[in-house]
Amino acid sequence: MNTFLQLLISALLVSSLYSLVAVGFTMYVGVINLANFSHGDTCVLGTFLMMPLFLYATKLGWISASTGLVILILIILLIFLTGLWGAAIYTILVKPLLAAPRLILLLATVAAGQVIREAIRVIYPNGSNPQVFPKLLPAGSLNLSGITLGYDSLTIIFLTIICILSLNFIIQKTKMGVAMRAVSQNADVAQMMGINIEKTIISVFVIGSALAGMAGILNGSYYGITKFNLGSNLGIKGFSAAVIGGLGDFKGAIVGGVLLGFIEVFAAAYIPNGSQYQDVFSFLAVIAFLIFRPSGILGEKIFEKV
Amino acid sequence: METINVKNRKTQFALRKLVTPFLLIIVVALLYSIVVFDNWLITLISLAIGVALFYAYAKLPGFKTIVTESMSKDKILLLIVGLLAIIAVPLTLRTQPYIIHILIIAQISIILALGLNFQVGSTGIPNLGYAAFYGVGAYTSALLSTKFGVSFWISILLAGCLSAIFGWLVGLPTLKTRSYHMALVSIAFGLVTYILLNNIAFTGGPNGIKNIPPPELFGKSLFSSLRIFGNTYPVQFNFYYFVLVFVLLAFVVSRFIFNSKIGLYFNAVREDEIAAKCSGINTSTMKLLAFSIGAFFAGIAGSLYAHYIGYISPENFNMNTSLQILGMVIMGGMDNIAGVGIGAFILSVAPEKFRSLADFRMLATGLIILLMLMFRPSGIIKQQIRKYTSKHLMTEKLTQGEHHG
Repeated sequence: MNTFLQLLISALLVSSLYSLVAVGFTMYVGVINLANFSHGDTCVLGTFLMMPLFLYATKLGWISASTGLVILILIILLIFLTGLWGAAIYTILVKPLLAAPRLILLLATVAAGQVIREAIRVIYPNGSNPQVFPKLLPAGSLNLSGITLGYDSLTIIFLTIICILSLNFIIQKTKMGVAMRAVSQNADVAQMMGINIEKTIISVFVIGSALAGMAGILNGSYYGITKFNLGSNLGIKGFSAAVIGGLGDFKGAIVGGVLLGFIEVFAAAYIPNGSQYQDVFSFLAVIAFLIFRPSGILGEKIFEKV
Repeated sequence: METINVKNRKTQFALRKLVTPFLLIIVVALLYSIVVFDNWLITLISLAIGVALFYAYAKLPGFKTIVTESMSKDKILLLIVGLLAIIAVPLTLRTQPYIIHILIIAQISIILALGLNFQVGSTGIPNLGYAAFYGVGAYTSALLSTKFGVSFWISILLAGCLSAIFGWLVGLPTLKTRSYHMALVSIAFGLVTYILLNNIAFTGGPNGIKNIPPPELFGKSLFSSLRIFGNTYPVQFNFYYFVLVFVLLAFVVSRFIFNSKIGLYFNAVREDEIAAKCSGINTSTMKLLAFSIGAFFAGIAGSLYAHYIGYISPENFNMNTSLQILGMVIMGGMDNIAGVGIGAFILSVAPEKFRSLADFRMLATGLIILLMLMFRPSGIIKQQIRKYTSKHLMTEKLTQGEHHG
């Protein structure tokens, strides 16, 4: 029973990371029907932007003085930076190619991911090797009748829930959120109703990339390590989660992320030799979904019309 | 007055005739200098001249018409000279086996790129795990010949077929879904293959498979050096011609499929799937076919690679390899067979000349794909819209006439 509960906590942890990545994917698909394959690499870019910031802050002696507050400021700064990166990706890469066939745009985002990855590897000192990521989250653990609850995993789950709730608030209650939903339903009509489509799409890119940066630094500080090519795996998992949940559906991305996290953690634990093949299990789950329910758990079935 | 005019026309005519040989000499010289000189500066200059020529071709309408006219007139001459040059090149490289080695790798890349072109170029389905099919072919062939002692010819055929079956299977889940689902499934397939190859003991794990025997031809191993007129030729020399046969076959098959109805159906699926369906094309079959054929090419290429190098490991078939092959297709020109061949040649030979910058190779590949897609998505050689000659029109009119009559 104890192992089960322990696994539950770690499944929730993995789920929250996947959900954060999946939300970005699903928003891009919802608004401009584009799967941005450089999204996972944005996460890693976040970690590699965070490390110099942290080093600089340590050098100035800020970290030892008032750790919690400084780290919070750093995280907010980083979210701002990755959000800016998302806007840049949209204006430089996606916008000029919106008129081109979708295949071109898709391949361009794949290439952009490769460029980010390799640029990190080449530019960052000793970038080919794994880098030690600073522990941003509180250390120590809580012991509840035999179950160890690490403060770091609790913080990650807590932060994820806060992010998702505030995003939900933005989407449901604010004017920007209404604009996003309108554009994703029918961009032409939304434009006729006076919605600034460009602004809406940029805001989607900013929010998606900011969440990706958040996922990246949470992932990095939990495992204490980051590497230039972690993003391709994280991105694929995030996209898989979005597909399982139903592309274009915000809640679906979270459901998919949770499902994928649980499949992965429990398969690794209960299937012999499972930890070597945990990626295989999650991909099998995605393929099963694509065959039997391509629209995902929450997605509506879409019929292509002539 | 008239005599001058005639004379003028005559000289013009003679000049026009010289265009093709002149271009041929330039192109052959450029390619030869890229291939032979192991000096990055010369490669850079040759590439720059090539780019300048290409730019002139694209931007100067007069130049373009002259070139296309004379090229189409002297097609056979071009083909013969090209073939002769390809056959003659290794004869001049007897003392430089490493350069022949690069050329063999380029040839294998050409087969790979032609295979991927069926999917990305002709049918418009993204395949980001193409290296996995290459790996399936290489491992099948290597395992069959090292563990079961099967001869090369049977194992290469089985490698191609198994790879094609995998292609068909990977295509299955995405028939009713969109292009990004296809991208996801292909990446997932690539990653799964990589993980399995790394973890299964039977395939040798991360150490791969060693001592793969070379192919045998007429009872003689291709690893025995040739002696002609008292000159000993390196082993690579044998392989060059051996792989060349496969490359030519790949070109012929690609050309044949492109010109057949199936090629047309592939393009129809790419342009508008719903319209293709409405015109009675079975789009599912076409997608699966594009996958299987492309994977078959990859399997053959993998088998050739395994038996040429003699050693394979999972690292040869990871995501980077997939992206490199994708880069070749995009750079050369999607759906243009000659273009894809040129793209594969440049992207496999040029990096060898910039070995001192090997660390930047994958960055450069990514940048090339990105810049090509943004500024010239049609690639080096743009695939023209299919034109049907008067012959086709005539038959069409005749059949129509019969109906009305």
